[in-house]
Amino acid sequence: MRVETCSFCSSPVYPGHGMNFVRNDCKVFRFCRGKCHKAFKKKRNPRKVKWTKAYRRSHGKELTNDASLEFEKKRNNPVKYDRETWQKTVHAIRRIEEIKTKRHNHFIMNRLKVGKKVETEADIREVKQNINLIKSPAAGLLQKRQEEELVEVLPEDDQEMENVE
Amino acid sequence: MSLYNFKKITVVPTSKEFIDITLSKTQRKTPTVVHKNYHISRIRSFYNRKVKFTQQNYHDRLSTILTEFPKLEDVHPFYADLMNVLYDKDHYKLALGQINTAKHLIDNVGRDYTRLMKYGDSLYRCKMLKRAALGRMCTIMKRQKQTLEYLEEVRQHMSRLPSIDPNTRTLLISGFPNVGKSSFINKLTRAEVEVQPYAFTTKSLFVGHMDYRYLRWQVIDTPGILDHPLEDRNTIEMLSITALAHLRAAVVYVMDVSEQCGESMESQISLFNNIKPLFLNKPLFIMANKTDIVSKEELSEENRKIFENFENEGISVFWTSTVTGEGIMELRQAACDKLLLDRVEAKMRGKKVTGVLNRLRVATPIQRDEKVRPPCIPEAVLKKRAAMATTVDASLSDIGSMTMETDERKKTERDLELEMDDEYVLDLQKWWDLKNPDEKHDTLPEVWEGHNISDYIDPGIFKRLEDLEKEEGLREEAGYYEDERESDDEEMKEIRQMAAKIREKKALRLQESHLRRKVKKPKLPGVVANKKKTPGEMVDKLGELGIDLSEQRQAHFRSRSKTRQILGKRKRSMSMDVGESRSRVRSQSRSRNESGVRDVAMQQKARKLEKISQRKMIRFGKAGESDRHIPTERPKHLNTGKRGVGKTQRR
Amino acid sequence: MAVRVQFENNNDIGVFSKLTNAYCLVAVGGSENFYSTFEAELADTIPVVHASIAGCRIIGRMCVGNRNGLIMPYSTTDQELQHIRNCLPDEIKIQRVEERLSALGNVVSCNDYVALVHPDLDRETEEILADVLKVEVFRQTVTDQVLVGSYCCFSNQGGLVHPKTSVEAQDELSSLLQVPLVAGTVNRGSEVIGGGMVVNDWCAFCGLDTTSTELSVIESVFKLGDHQNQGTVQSKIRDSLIDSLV
Repeated sequence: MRVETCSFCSSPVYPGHGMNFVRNDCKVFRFCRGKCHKAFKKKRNPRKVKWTKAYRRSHGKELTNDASLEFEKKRNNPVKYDRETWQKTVHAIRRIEEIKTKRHNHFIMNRLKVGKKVETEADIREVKQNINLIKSPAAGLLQKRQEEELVEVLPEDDQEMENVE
Repeated sequence: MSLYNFKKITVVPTSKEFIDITLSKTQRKTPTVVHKNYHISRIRSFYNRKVKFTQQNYHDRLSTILTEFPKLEDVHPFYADLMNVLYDKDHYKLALGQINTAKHLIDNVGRDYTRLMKYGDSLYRCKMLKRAALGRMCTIMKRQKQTLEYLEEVRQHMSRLPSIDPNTRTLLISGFPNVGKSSFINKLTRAEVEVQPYAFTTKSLFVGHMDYRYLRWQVIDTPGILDHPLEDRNTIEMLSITALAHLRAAVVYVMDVSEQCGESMESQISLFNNIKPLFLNKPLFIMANKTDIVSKEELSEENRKIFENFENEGISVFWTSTVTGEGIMELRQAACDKLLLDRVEAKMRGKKVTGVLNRLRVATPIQRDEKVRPPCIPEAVLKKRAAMATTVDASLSDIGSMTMETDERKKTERDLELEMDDEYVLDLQKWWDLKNPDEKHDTLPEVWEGHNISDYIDPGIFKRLEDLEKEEGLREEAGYYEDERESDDEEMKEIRQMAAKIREKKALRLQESHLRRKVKKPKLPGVVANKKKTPGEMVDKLGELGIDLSEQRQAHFRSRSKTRQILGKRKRSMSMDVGESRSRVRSQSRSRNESGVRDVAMQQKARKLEKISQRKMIRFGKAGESDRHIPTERPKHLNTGKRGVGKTQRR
Repeated sequence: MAVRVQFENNNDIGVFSKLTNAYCLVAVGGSENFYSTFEAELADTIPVVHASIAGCRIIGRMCVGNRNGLIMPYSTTDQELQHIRNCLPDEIKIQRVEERLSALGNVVSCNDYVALVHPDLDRETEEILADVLKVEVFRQTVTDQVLVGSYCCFSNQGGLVHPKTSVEAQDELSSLLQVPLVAGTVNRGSEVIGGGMVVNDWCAFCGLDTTSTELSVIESVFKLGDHQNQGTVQSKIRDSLIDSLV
């Protein structure tokens, strides 16, 4: 019993699910569901179909070259069974998963930071250009004029006062 | 087909049975119902069919008999002669010929009556014709009663004939009656031929098989032959003579040195000389049997001389005793070897060997480099072989007959399976060769949380995990994972808020324009539209944008700008006296909604009716009451299709 | 010691079992008769293992090996690989290869020193063979038969090739493989030698249908019987062969 990966979207195929297709050149293709199977039959390239892992990896949206990813791969030389080793391996798998997810999250965060910058710039631009939609340039104009008048009056008074003196 | 297996001939039925079978078959397999009032051609074909069917049936069955019984010309002459001896060639041929004739006669009858049927013009006539046809065929068969019985007997006897292959390696044992031929074959093969003290115990040929030198050998035991001329020989003796004449085999002529069979040595010798012509081209061996009673040394002079003569002529003599078993193996070896040699020589002279030559030689390799490539046989095996070599008798050259007798037979899986019977379960893990044998029966985990454990099992995994952990530790220390998200300062926060509001405003505008665009109402003229915009609204909107207009000072707003007075003709008014009061140009007009309407309720109703009558026009976007254009006169969707339930009388 | 045996009434022993000098793989059958025949003969000296490859019982034709290692096709499941690894001693290297010609038993024929390989085999697989099995690899057909694993069978001491091999081809192969070769049949005239029998340096197993002549040829060319009279045995066989063939 083995959990395979779908040849189209790289999601896990559990036993009893999906479909296998064997081509004439002896290559086996496993599909997790009809969606992937049909896409394959339509000759879609998974590297161009946005929701597949192949696309995400080739377009740098996911962690690719990392040491934690080298642990899980199909191996061709078996090792003799040893209870201790097996147990330790299972614990190791858990730990590896933790590290993998941590690194993966970090990667995603880094990726999103760029977006934050872009967002702030967009906001600033938006405000600069379209401030007139929420705040007319004439806002506060009246007050300003009033204040100006007051200010004009006051220095006149001062001047007069000065002249007098 | 009829090589040497006569067991596959079908049973020949008696004539009565034959007739019964065929007639009942006709009755069952052809249609049975016919009426007077059918068309005559139908009646004719009905009866024709019956006649033809019966004829065909007889023909088929007789043909099978004819083909299955072997033709004496086609079989090996040994069998031809054998059958002649047993069944008389002439009688046999005659019987088969009669069957053949019967077949032809039946065919003729069938053909004739089919032709006659054409002239049958009523059901009765046709029926009588059919009856006559079938009757005649059956009479023909009735006449074959004797023939069929004879053939059945022959068939039964033939099926019990021994299956002798005339082409393979054979040893023929012949001699006087009671000399020990059957005991000899019993010793050599697994055949259990009857051995009795009286003569002619063996009354027919018996075949036994033995293995020698990886090949299968036939040993044929013949009934004893007496010494008289060929014409006087009875059937049983003729069997032996036939065998001797036709089979290319090694001949072992058995002689009784003790003369217990009742014949003297001289008579045996004379018989030998009589049948000598039959031994031409065959390897010949003399077997001096019953030496347990009279051994070689006890023989008289003349007798010994006889055997010396044989030796001189080149015929090997073997002194044997079927009771004690001495000399038998040597005889067998010698006879088989000689025969094999002869056969091989004959074949080598022929052409067929060239095709097989490649299988006869062993290709030996030429050394191409210095490397030594020894076989890898483990110690235990070598020891076992050495042990076996010492215990095994060197004379045992047939590997096939070697039996291993080990004292302790190890208990195999099969034994275990048989012991446990129903409870046996094949536990594959018990053969695991692990460091720790108690772990043998562990169930191995295969999948954990969607990961295949076998993908992780690697001798270096723990080291790599350690490295990974170290790296992880380093990263953590270096602050790799710290959240560097800068929190926005006040200004940024405000900017964000304002940007959000702007976007919201934009979205609303967009929505409004969409709504406006979507509605396909006739557009109202600008005056009425502007009517909706009130100064209050404007004040509110500007207030939102930050302009404070609540003070009255700046307000010049009116709902409607002053309407200009209707000025009459200027000249007139100018020239006239100023004092003249202005007379009313027009009497005060009342709006149409109010004229003729009693009270407010009626007015409202009138308004309502007005609006209702306008609904259709507005909805369909019609220009007015006169706009009666129909875009499609008979739309398909209203005028086609069946009703689910009900009639389509009106649409 | 040549032994006649059947697997569920089928005479093709080379299909259901794999025999080398260090181990023996046997298919899982309905009852344990087949296994017990091997066990009785071999269990004291080498491990005799039940196996399956990709759930199939035709293990003899799917895998290839000698006393140094064992090579399995890519379709072998992890559990089967693990089972075989657990049963065999550590000296024997086990490797799973990705190869288009996945019936390795039909495609490769080898003994402990030399391997004969289908001409279309991948380069990487050839290298893996040379590395894991520690053999010299030769790409060669057996007189127009590309499936070398099916049509010839050889051990360190001798070899049997299919009957239509010409004399020149026999000689050529013999010097290539450095073992004496004979063209013969097994299981009553079956040409598919590799599928019909299994052999190692001290014993052979073939179908119940094998005639005594064929068995004698096998025993003489693979040197399985008593070592005393090899020469006379050969001449004896020759005569019997001629008699039975022509």
